[in-house]
Order: sequence, then structure tokens, then C-alpha cells
Amino acid sequence: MQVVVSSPIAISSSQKQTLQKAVEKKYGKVEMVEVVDPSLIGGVKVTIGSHQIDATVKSKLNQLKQQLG
Amino acid sequence: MEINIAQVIFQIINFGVVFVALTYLVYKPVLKTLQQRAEKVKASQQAADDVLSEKDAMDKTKTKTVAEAKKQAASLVAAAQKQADDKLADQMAKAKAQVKEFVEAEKEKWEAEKKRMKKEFEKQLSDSVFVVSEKVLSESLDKKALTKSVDASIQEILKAL
Repeated sequence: MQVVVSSPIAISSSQKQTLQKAVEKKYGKVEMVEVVDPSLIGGVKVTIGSHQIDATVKSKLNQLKQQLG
Repeated sequence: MEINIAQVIFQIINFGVVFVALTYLVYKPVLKTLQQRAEKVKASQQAADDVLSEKDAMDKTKTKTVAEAKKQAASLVAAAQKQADDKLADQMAKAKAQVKEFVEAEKEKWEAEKKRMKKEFEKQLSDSVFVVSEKVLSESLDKKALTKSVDASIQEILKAL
């Protein structure tokens, strides 16, 4: 299974390992793919198949925008 | 002076003959004519009285009819006036209700428009805030802050997993 980790800057190897361990614990063996996207502003987004965990600043701002609108 | 008996007797007989003749030939016809005339006068008087009585009766009838007509006319005028007043009051009430309904509808429209404008303004404001925040954060976060935010996010993701 492929796991896409998106962040505004490249994540460190220790951060990558921590994430990979946690994901593999739940989903089994996975292949980590890193994507650097400065438009995310801050935080990290992890996409595991159709499942997505979005903890980016951009996502939080979007949620705030929806609550205000 | 010497009285001629024969002449006296002749005069008496002559008077009697004339008296009888006048009685039968003049007095009775004249009396009859007078009686007929009196009856005619009486009949005419009666007719005149009847006409007067009839006139009085007609006058009374006329007065009564006029009074009744006046009463009916007054009653009709009063009824028409009442009907007109009722209709006017009804139309006034309807007009007031229509005006009230119109004002309420316009008020509701205005409130809805205000609400829509407020919502639109809030949306524009939040959009602007979002754009500004995004821009400010993108420009102000240095590498250290970005690393810190990535660390915090990873902790958040670990909890979610």
C-alpha cells in the first residue's frame, strides 16, 4: 500500500520513521511517498488509499472559513 | 150714504169667484214651483256638502299619503345612508388590511434582504480573512516554525491513527 505524506517542507527521517511505524502498525507494510507542497502553509497531510488525515494549516484555515461563512 | 145690497152681494160673489180662481190658477202653481225650487236648492246644497265632504276626505287621504311617503322616503334615505356608511367602513377596513399586509410583506422582504446582505458581507469578510491569513502565515513562518508545526501535526496524526 502506498502512503503519501504531504508537507510544506521536507520531513526529517526521524519524523518519517515515526509516521511509517504508526501507519504500518495499523495497515501493515506500506510504501512512503513524500510530497513537498508549500501551499499547505504548515502541518502534515497523510493519504492512505482513500483515507486521508489532514492536519495542515491550510486545512484548518479552510475549516475556519467554512465555520465563519 | 145709501148701501146698495145688491151691489154688495155682487161684490162678495165677485171677490169669491176671483179668490177661488186665483187660489187654483195662481197660488197652487206658484206654491208648487216654490216647493220644487226649494227641493232643487236643498239637493244642490246636499251635493255641495257631499263634494265638500269628499274634498275633505281626499285632503285627509292626501295628507296621510304624503306623510307616509315622507316617512318611507326618510326610511329609505336612512337605510341608504347606513348602507353607504357600512360599505365605506368595510372598504376602509379592507384598505387598511391591504396596507398592513403590504407593509408587513415589504418589511419581511427588507429583513430578508438585510439578512442576505449581512451573510454576504460575512462571507466576503471570512474570505478576505482567509486570504490574508493564508498570505501572512505563508510569509511569516520560517523553517523552525514550519518544523514545529509539522511535529505537532505528526502528533495529531498519530493520535488519529
